[in-house]
Amino acid sequence: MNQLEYKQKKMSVGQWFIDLWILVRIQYANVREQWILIIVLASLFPLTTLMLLHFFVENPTNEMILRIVTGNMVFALIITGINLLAQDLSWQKHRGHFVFYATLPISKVSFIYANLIKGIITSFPSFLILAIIGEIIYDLNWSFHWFIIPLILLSILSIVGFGVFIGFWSPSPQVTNIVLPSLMMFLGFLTPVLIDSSQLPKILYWLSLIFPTTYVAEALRELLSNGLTKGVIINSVILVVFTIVSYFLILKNIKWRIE
Amino acid sequence: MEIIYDIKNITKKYPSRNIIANKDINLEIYKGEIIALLGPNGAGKSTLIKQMMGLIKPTSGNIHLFGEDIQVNSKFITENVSYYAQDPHAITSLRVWESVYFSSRLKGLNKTSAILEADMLIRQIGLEKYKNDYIKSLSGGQKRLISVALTLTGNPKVLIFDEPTNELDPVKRKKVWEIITNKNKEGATIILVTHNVLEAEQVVDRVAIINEGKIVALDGIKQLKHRIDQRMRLDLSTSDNLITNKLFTSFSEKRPQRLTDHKLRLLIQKDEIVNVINKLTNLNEKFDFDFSLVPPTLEDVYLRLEGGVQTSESIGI
Repeated sequence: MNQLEYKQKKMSVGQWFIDLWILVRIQYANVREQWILIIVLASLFPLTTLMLLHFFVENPTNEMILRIVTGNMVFALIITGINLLAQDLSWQKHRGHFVFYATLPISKVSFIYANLIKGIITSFPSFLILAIIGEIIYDLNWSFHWFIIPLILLSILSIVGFGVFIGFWSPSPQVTNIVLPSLMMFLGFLTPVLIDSSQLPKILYWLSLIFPTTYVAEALRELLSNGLTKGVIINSVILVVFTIVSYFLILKNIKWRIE
Repeated sequence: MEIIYDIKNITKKYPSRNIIANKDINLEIYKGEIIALLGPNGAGKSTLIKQMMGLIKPTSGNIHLFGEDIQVNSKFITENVSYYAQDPHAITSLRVWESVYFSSRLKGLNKTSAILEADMLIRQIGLEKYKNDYIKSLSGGQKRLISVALTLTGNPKVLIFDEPTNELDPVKRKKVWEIITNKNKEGATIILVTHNVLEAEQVVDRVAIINEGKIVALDGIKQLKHRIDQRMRLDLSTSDNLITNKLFTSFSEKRPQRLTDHKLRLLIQKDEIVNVINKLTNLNEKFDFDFSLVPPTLEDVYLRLEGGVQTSESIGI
């Protein structure tokens, strides 16, 4: 007969993944009844931007279409890694949910990653829709390489820091909702995500180098058009550095306990 | 007795808001006891338990849990202490059973044990009928029972309950007190924050009365009551506010408490009883009112302190 056994919880890699899995299920429960609506809404922004740019640019070259489609795919990633995450964290913080999680024997990072995975589940379809539109409507011959999967994950992990810091530090959800569109507009339109870096003023070009989205757009464009090249590898290494730095910054600077 | 929590000179200041939430609090909590923190709203009780949970960092002082400094090792708290938050609002999208199961898993139980524990705890709180319902569809009282179940998951050594019977009907309140006392009998140390003095009196071993961020009385219930045993509680009931005012003035030297427009309460020394009864009889000839004399309760100690008396010495405690 099965017996109820109590043991002191020991943190190990295995336990960390169990915690993550449970936390993902808890987080996913918040959206399980509205997931279709969330996916549709998450797809709207990159889709409408894609259409706008298509109508705006007359006789676009293949290079321009490639940039517009991949740029909008980066938008989908920004929505996941920054917008949805920051909004979720900010909302949970101000509703007092952190008190519940902070009193459980779990790590802060697994809680953040659980929120992130929920974001990926809800916004990955928009990324896929954009890839399909590019392939079918714009007749782009994507070079689908297996490296696209780790690149997408790396891209999201590298930009997570922005979402986490905005979510945790924002004084109210209203401020979060004001900051996020501004950041998204800046990253989308004033860095080399949708626009070629040669068209940007020097100051913006230099500024864009501190944002991981610049390297995400580069890597994605290169991978989808030419496959796994040296450029993709270099940009991926830069994204790994961004991921590691943001991981340690989160660990050190983000407190979910009240100071 | 083994000390579980050793709180030394804890102070919390919020300079930006010019607030001192608690000042120079010293408290030792012993293994296996039930201790209640009583005090009016804003007294600093919740700040203190949040400091004990590591949720609020004290401005000065330190807290040791099982000898470990919780500022240095905050993970040690969540591994040993379970905290009851009144409303499980972080997980209201979950179903009842899965919320308890997930909590058990996060506290380190394996799958089989977590299933068994979830079944057992849901049975204990009497919500088997609702185990597949979403928490958000339940009543406020049922949600609080779920919070109690979540607090019990993982068989913690120390349980902290913040107002566990708040807004519960009498049947549910009784159930919660039963659960708390049973857990204590199994060896858990219980720390309670409550306004429900009369109910707490039935279950707690010691009481810390907190007012304006300070512990103004700390002792066992018997000891606290014994120290004011030399007094009797006099309750006066009137049907008219004007009569209440007259009585208030007549007994002003005894510092009566105005409970309502029609009720006064005061503590009198036993050797004054005859004089007071004579005075009451005289007054009763002029004004219509009822009175009763009863031994003091823990509530009298609490109300006395809450009524503005800042130190235990001033009421002879």
